[in-house]
Amino acid sequence: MTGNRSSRFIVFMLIVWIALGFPAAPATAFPEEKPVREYDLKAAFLYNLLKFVNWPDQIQARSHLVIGILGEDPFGASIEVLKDKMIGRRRIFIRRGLSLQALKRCDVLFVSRSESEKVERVVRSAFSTHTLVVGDTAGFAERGVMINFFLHEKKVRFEINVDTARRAKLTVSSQVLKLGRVIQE
Amino acid sequence: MKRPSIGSNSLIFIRKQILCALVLLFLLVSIIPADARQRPDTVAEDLTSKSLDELMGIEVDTVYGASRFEQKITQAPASVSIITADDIRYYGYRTLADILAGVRDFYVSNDRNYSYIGSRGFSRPGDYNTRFLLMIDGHRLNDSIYEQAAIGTDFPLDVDLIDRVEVIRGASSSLYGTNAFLGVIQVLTKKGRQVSGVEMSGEAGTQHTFKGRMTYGRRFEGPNTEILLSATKYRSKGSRELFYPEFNSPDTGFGTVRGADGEAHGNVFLNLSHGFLNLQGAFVSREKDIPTAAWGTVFNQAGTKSIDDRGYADLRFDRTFDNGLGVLARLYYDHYRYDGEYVFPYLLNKDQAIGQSWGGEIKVTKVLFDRHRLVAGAEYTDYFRQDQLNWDENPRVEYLDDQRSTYQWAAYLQDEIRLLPGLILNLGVRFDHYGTFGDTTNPRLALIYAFQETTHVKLLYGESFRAPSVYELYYSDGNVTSKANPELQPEKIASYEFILEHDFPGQVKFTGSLFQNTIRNLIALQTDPADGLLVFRNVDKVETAGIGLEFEKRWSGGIRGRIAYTYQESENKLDGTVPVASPRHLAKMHVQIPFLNERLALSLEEQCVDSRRTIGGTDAAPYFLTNVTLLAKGWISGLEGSVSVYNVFDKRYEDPASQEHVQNTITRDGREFRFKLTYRF
Repeated sequence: MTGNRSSRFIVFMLIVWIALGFPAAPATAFPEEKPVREYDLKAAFLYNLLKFVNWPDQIQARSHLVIGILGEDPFGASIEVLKDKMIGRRRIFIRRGLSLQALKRCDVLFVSRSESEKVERVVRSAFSTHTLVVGDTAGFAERGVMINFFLHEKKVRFEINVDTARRAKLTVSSQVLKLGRVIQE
Repeated sequence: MKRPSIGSNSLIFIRKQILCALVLLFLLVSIIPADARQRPDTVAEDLTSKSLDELMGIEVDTVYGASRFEQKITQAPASVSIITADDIRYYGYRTLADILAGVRDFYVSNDRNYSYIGSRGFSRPGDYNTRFLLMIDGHRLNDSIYEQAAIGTDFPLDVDLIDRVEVIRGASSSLYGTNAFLGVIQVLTKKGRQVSGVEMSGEAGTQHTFKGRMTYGRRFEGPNTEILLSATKYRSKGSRELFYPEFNSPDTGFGTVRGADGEAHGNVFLNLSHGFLNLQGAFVSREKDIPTAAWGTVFNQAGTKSIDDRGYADLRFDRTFDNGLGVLARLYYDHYRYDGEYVFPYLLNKDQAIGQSWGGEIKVTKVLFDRHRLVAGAEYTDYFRQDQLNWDENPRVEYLDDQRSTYQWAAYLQDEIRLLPGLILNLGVRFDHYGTFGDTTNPRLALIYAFQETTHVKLLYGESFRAPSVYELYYSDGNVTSKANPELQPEKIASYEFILEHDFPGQVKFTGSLFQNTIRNLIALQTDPADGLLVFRNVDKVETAGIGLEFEKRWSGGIRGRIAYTYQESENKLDGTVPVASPRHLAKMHVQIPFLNERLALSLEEQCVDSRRTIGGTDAAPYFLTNVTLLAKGWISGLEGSVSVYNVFDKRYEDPASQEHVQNTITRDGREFRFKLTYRF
């Protein structure tokens, strides 16, 4: 009943569809539309937060910035997008390890949920190495983790422990303090 | 009177230009060698270019409705607005009608019986919103008698249970079939885990309005096992006194109606999931007193009212297999019942309509040849009961006893083709077969291009139809004043749209859209010169062209706002007049200001609607409406409270009335207050 107009249209569309569908297609994967993934978002948060953290001068002057992941890595590929990105003049490196010894010295240390019982020890050792300790486990901020992510109504939020950060000689910009939940001992 | 600026010639000119542009783009695309079409990075999404402020605002950012699978809003083959549960809380929206009135290009009118949607210059007073498809979680709600989209208190879901509303503009019959004519309103519900416990909510407001809601939601151990159960009760006395100058004479109480505007409704909603299965059910019963003396009923006498019952059950299986094949299978049942009581001098007339149907749908989604994403589906609905009755009581005289049944089936196919990084071509077509009028085929075509994530351009063309409803086909009052027309054909629309979306630095988001609609075979109530009876006929033709603009901005500190403006011109092609209820200008403004660490938030809504012509040839005056809500949360754990003032300046405003009214316009409510408390434990 829609007459010639729409049947012409359908023929036209079919031709276009066939024409586009069968050229020797390269082996490219079709990008799947997915909702924003939690750890993609947390990685982006981490990267942006690092821009607002100041290390002592001798460290700030280095050409690299090492992000370590202690324990089971929840980021997977999500953290790899930070690799080789610059924070000021410092290039980001990613290391993973199951012990502090294996990780050597890190500028930023993400403590996985799996390392829950080590948290206090990790934070204490961070004071001398000026390491920013980061986590995403409930209660970590109160136990000294300097930046701790959490989810609230499907959005990522973070807590900042300003006391332990200060003891590691790290300063966190007030811009960030305004956005996060500040924990003081 | 002809309008000077956009005449029919320039409309056709615009249409030809868009078509030429589309064809040119196809040609360009088809000569690009295949290996130039590279794959974008898909391993992990790099969000690092966003600022902290932007990141704070990100959550699951997908739309379901425009393509029938979740996708980013900027890649949807349509112009889509999303209203979230937060918007509903912050702006104090009470009904879906309140929500839609705040959306760009939309306006909502009310005749103290039902609410009516207008969009982009098209609104037929009293049309029961048949040109909009309304869905809850993909389940069609337009009933099987009048095809009404119930957006007022007759909507089966409490607005507090809405997770988000997707308003998809334009013609979408290529996916959804009938009613997806001017737009699709997809309501997505909250899941049990979003409640996680018991939630109790109470409201009290002007006009002795009270509402109570109780909701239980929980997620259990086990794969995707959740429950949400909710019930709501509402009643309102309505306006204590209404004045209609048309009835200002001694025998009709000098135009004043008292106590005939009451309203009550109750609804229940259940959503159960386990694994890949989901069962959903909803039911609402709503009773509304009609104070306007519509259809020639007695003025200022209580008793004229409409009662609508709507309910459905929807069982679905939804699974994506490891090879990427997505399968959705649904089985559904719908129930609708209308009881109308009309008080005429010395007699009571009653209308009854019962619609019952069941049906099923199967839909598969699959990526093929690496860059085609196909959606294919088929559905069948058996409308096994479509009864319409009309009679007088005491003594009983029957005018109409029409019993029908019919069926409908459809098959659709949509392909999203990734031509180049950033360039998407979306093609869709749907074939519908109706037991009443036969077949119709409706295509859609969209070209979407993204420049560097910040700019998106969309070119859209779509055709849609609206099947004549059983009411339009068969309603008559025994050929006293109206007769049936079983020969009615579907209405048709062709719509073109050009959309530009751009993110400016400083968290400013711009959306602009140029649109043009041509509606043919529009079903309108006519008087047959041969016998003087009212009858529905496919007569009207309307053309519309316009522009919609929207800016959205977030400031630091959580302040956010948006401004929207729509300009359109419409013309009845039969006589060159401006259609009724078609405002040339529409403007909206929304601002949300949180303070005290987001424990308080003030939200301001402004709606501006230009004058609209009425059926009687007069004008409903332009109006400017202000609504304010103050929301408090986080003071006592689990408790949230709000105070809303609607129509703050007590502005007298009115909407064009439909044919059944003596009045040209129906006055809306003045200033109203609402207090609301919600406690979750």
